[in-house]
Amino acid sequence: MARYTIEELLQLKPSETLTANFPAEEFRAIIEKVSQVQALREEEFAAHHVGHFNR
Amino acid sequence: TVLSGTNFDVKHPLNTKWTLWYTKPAVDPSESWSDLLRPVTSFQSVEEFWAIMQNIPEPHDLPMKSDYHAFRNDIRPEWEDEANAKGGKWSYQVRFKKNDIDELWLRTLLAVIGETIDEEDAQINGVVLNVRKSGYKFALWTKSEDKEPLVNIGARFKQVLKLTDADHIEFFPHSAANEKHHSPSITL
Ligand SMILES: [Zn+2]
Ligand SMILES: [Zn+2]
Repeated sequence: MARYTIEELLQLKPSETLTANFPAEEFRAIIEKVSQVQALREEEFAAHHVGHFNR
Repeated sequence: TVLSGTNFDVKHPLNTKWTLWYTKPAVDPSESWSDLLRPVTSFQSVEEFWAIMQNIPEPHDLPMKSDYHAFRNDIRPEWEDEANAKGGKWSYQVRFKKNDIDELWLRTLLAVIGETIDEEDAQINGVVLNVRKSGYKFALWTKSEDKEPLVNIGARFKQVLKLTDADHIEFFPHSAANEKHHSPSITL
């Protein structure tokens, strides 16, 4: 059975950046998009409540 | 030993194939669970694992309500999956200290795919990270709810997460997931 300690696996970490075996750019874009939507909704929520308290 | 190979084309095989899954937070109500939980990619060698890790966001960059899951072979990260149905999960929630989350998640993944957290290679189905407002939740999913092997695994999980005797992890059997008062069957 293949077994590696955490230290052994860290030693096998390459120093150069490798290409992943899937469309990683697309994946990062999806996550970035969600982050933007969440941030926008938080801003809208905060803005609404500022208006609320000033009334 | 691991480092004896000088040929970098020689890959270091893992014990089994693993699949990385991501749960995307819902941004509009039309999205169903099956749209949100998706396999990202699979890997069976140390080299493939690192290539993936270099190209995906680290936990601190994930939006709220995201999950990463890494599961063995084709096991789905859901308790309804045959392989999970009779098992449960060791669970730990990290509150309010964001800085070392990336390292703790990496250590957890390495302990799981390197098979050092379960010496018998008999219990671990996968590992999950939930990103929530209340904090980051780590869970180790197991095949069974047998106390003896699980206590050993739980003890090693605490070391991987760098926990002290004052910190506690909890084991929840999936069989109780639908009960109103879902309390842990083991606390360590
Ligand atoms: Zn309001
Ligand atoms: Zn960052």
